[in-house]
Amino acid sequence: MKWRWLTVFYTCFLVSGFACARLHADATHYDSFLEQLKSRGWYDTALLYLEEIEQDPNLPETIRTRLPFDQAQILIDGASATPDFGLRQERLKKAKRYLETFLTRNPDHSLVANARLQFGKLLMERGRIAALKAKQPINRSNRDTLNQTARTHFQQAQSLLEKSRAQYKTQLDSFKNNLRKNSPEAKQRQDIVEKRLQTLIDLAVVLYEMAQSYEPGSADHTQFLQQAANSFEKIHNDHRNLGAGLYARLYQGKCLEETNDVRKARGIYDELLGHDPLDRKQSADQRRFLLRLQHQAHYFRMICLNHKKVKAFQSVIEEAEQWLRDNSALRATEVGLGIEWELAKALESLAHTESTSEKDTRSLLRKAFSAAEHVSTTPGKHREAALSLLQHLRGTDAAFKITPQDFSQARELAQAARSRAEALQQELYAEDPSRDTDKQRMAALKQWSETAELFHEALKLADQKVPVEDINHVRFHLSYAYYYLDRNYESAIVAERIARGYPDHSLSKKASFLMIAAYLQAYNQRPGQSAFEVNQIIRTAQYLLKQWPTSSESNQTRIILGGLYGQQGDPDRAAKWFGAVTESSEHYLESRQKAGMAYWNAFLRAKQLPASKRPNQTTLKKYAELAQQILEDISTESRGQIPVGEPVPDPLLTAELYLAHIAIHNDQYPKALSLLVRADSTGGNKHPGLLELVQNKEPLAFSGRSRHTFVAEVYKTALRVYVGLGDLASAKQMINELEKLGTSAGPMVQVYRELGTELQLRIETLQKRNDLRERDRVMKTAESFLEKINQGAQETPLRFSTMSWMADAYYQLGKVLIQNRPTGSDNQRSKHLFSNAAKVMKQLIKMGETDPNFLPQQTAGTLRLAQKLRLRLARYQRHVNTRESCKEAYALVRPLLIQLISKPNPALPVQVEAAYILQAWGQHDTRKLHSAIRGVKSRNKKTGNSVMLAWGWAGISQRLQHSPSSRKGASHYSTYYEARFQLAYCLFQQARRAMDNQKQEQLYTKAKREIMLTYRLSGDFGGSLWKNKFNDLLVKIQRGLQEPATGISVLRKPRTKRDINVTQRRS
Amino acid sequence: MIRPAPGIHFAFSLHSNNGRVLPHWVSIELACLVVVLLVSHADAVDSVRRKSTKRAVFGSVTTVSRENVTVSTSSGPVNVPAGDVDFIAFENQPPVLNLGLQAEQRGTLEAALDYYRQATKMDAKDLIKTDIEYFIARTTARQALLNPELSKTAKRLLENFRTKHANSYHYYALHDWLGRIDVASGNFDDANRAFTIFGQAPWRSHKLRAQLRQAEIEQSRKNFTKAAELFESIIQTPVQSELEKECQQEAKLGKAHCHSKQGSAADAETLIREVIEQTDIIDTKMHARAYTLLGDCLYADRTSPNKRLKPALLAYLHVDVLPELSIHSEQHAKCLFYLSQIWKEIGKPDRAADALVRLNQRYPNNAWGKTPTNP
Repeated sequence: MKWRWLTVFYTCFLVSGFACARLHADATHYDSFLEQLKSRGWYDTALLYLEEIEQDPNLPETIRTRLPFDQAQILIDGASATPDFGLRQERLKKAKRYLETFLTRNPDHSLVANARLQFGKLLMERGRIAALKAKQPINRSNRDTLNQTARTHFQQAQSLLEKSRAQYKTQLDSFKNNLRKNSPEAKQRQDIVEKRLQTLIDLAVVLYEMAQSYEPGSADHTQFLQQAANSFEKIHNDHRNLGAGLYARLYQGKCLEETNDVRKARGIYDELLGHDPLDRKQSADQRRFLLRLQHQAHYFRMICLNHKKVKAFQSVIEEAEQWLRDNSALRATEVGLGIEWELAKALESLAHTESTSEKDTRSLLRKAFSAAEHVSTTPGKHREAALSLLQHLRGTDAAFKITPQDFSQARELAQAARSRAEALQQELYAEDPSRDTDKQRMAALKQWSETAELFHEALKLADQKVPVEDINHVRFHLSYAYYYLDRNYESAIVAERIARGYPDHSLSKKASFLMIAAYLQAYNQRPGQSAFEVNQIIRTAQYLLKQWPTSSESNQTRIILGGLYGQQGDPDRAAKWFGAVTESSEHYLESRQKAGMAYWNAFLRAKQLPASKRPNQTTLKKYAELAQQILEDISTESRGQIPVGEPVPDPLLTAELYLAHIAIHNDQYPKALSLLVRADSTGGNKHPGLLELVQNKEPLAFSGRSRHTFVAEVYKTALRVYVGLGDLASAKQMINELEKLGTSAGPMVQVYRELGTELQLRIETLQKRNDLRERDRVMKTAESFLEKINQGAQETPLRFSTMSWMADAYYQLGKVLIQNRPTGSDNQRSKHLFSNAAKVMKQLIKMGETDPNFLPQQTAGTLRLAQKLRLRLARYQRHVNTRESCKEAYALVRPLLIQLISKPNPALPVQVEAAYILQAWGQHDTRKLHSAIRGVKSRNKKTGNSVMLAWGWAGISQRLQHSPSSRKGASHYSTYYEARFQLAYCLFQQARRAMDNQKQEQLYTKAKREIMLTYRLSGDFGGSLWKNKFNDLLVKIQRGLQEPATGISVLRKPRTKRDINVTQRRS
Repeated sequence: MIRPAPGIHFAFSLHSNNGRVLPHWVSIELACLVVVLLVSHADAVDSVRRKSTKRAVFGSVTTVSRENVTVSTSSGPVNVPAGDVDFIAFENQPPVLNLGLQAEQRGTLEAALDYYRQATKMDAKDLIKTDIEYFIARTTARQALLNPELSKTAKRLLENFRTKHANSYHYYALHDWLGRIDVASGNFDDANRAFTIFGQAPWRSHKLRAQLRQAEIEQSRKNFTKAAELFESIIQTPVQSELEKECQQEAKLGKAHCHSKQGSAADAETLIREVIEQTDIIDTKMHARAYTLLGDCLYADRTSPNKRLKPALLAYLHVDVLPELSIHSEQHAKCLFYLSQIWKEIGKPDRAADALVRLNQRYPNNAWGKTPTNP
């Protein structure tokens, strides 16, 4: 009802105002009407009015001339009155245009000085916006830049204001001393006096604003506040009877409060509150002014009472509640909201004091929530803080539920949530690898989820009044939130709404790119099954490239497309896209580096393909050469262009790391080293190598986790190079560096495994090449390296992963030696290596038994870690291949066999190992060969029943024969044929050792029958490996039987399934 | 952070903006009001928003009939064809009525009914009361399209309204709703009768829409060849207004549906994508329908060698993710149901469960959860 009354009243007022102003657009009415609108803060209406009268052909020329000036003035005042940064900046931009128009058209107008003053105000306002933005959490990263911008604006404003002050002083000095009261000169002089006073206040305000651009508590902050306080004090002392004097006094108090001189500040506010606002001696205007000043003083006083030095929360609550009751009409004003905000803070603080009971705490928090909720519903400077408090309270108690009422409130809430989510996301990318990333990731995801919900809610609440610009901003942020939540399709759909629905929108280009990023993220999750995502990426990329072909986003899109084709094994097409990146682009270097990488990765991938699918040698050679050439070009061209002290760009670092990998691959270890270490003999090192950059902690373009990954990669590469070169001391140093990096370098076991595999492959290659000299050199290096690590254990105990790897490395090296026709010396050497492996493993098991923290946590698997370690030790012992070592090996597996007696599946690897051990033992004791074939029985002491402890090869193959796990492609397919082969092989061994010819023939025939049966049962030999072995064995048997050595080629294939079944039944 | 006001008007009007009584948006509203007052009738308080121009005629609604709403404006009486009336905002209408309309527009039908019921208890003139009665019947009809159990109630409410207010400007629109409920319940003869009355309206757009509804009846009867012919004839009709163009776009969607059912998924997809391309982004209803239908076509084609499960998912997701599309409850409910199916099929059971929960929460008793069928 009240609002309706007010509406009617003000409508009448306005209508009459408009009409009046239109009818009598003379200077007097014009000024007073405009002043009325401005004094009520109706800047939009004032502008509307000015636009209206501008169309009036009868408008006096004097007014028409000054219209741009007035429009600018209203826009500047209006800018400071809105909390919306976008709107503020837009208004200031317009104001600047109007002021420039006015000054260009009327260089000699009497308002020129004032126009310059307005320029000063405009700059101040710009500075204020920059300083306020700097305080927002979202701008944390460029806070310093924003504060610096603010200061620059303030300094420019100060300079303009100083000029105006000097100009006004000169003008005042030109007046005669004794002017007649009410004469035009006297009025003119008074006008200048007022303007000068205004300038003085503005100058003091600039100092206050300047202080706000520094961190609270810093020396600069305090210094500027003190200067501002002194300036305000001087104005107050000189004009204590004027409104301006009282105003200056109020802000003197504010400056004192902000320098923590709360007592003095309170004294000033109490003094101001002591004036009687109803004093009849004052004019109505003066009384109104004083009342407003006192409201402000009340508010500032409450800030003092809430101050950490005072903590008079109860007083704040009482005073604020009283003020809000008495001035309910002012509740939505800036002062009203400020007081309610102080009330909310006091309630929350009181709730958390020790003396407050639990019951009171809840009641106080509920009240705080309600007050903060009201503050948050109205735009203003406390809205963000209030929203933050609401979110915090909601976090403590789910009962506090915030339900956004309109688009604006939902957006503000969402933005606050987004700031928090971004802060959490930043922490995730932070450099410290010791953080609990899983927990952090969950927290960030939760926050992103809340952000998405709120932005979604904002869109739901958007009505036709909400500008499309705002809706698209919300859509963009929603799309981003979905992207972080890994809801990639949703992210793309929302972004598409902007990208395709509003192609001219400022965010459209970014939205298109976000779509690509979202589909790419979806693609990366399942690269093999993402034809749909690839299509969507290409479709969107085509759109983006067509709409904005020269943009940075287009170049990034080209890089993405290149990467995509590179991943799909099409390096030529990838290179085409990388090559389309414009040379002037900031992504040019990156695109070339990625082109080189695409060729190298294609080369590596192709080499792993089966021969039938592998590209021909010419293509492979081309891939490798192009990769090297492109990457070397980047390195040569770009290195010299980097100024000393500047970080080396990451594409260059990556290119050189790849070049080092290529050199390692080509056995060019010195070349690889030259990329890692570039220091020359004179010590001068303008362009340090990768390892030097990393070790000297030089600035790198990579940051956060990317930096850690890169550093780890450099150390790994250096380790490979040093091992390759036989520089074991340096290699050991690299191991230490990697261990220092901890988990961020990836699991150490992975590093070792890679190194071990590489060494093994290298030795195998050399062996195949029959380059025994080089093979022995590498072997020796590897052995020495392992020895070196072992020696280091005396100083620093080795970790589980290191010891485990060492044992395995000794074992693998030993195996390589006995792979192909080993010589006597190879056999001796391998035995030594196997016994070293066993030694390390025994040590490891012992340490695990004495220190429970030594072993890593149990990972999911069928066998426990301790059982696996025993099994590995048994295997090493078996390979040492002496009667004692075999006996010892069997003693190790026996308890495992007993433990797993009722568990056929987990027992299989143990049974296979046991059969192998018995077989190896058989070389020293023929009876054990029989056990290897038929297994070992054990009698249960309690029940007296016999059970098969070791199944033997016959038992293993029999169990697997009917098992689905031995079908082609299943897990035990190969094991079945392995068992069948070893069964035949053991019979063959028995035959060879048989003393009598008849027995020997029988055994040969048995062995032959087992091979034939294997084939007839399945028509298969379990792949080429076992097929060759079966063939060789059969040839040997046939020779033993003095039959034609046809091998498996003449074996009859089972014709039908029925045939197989019959054979199976017979067998 | 507190800071002094930037501009200080010296004559004791310092800090003037801090003491203002009205928030600044009020000033904008008032300015707009002034503009309205200047251009409109002195006593103008009712506004009749037109579908064709998306603008309002300000004045006083004097008479209403099946064919016209007459508005007395400063420049004389203006006849707005009933078929072109989007809505009438009457002077002194209960504020809760606006809330109801907004809720209905957002697709929160239960909330809309609550507001309308509250509005019926308030004092208002007859024209407003009549409107509220119609809005209740219309919202119930909307619900009935999702929940067939409400069909009888909705039909009763609409028929009661017809009996009581035979001369209402809602007369023809009411028959469209009646026909749609009948189609949904399989009463094709009744639907035919209702659409015939609807087509008797004196406006081309209504006649065209009536033809569209007849085609939809054939579609529901699974006479896809005949339906496609009827849709095609609408597509070939020269159109003059935006409302007629809208009918034509809907006919294209109908034809696409027939194509899909006749096994020409590719033709259907092309036609739907054409509609999406050609429809203004603010026409959310058409977009919601088009994306839902696109999802249907692609999902129905999921067994083809192309396996278009993900494209179908993306189409349905449009209606769920974009709030401006999800307000169209009929489409949204359907999309949620199929999303729950597809998420399951592509190995995301949690997302499937989420879609199903939201379907049942937002549209309790919806038909989708009960009769899962192929689209």
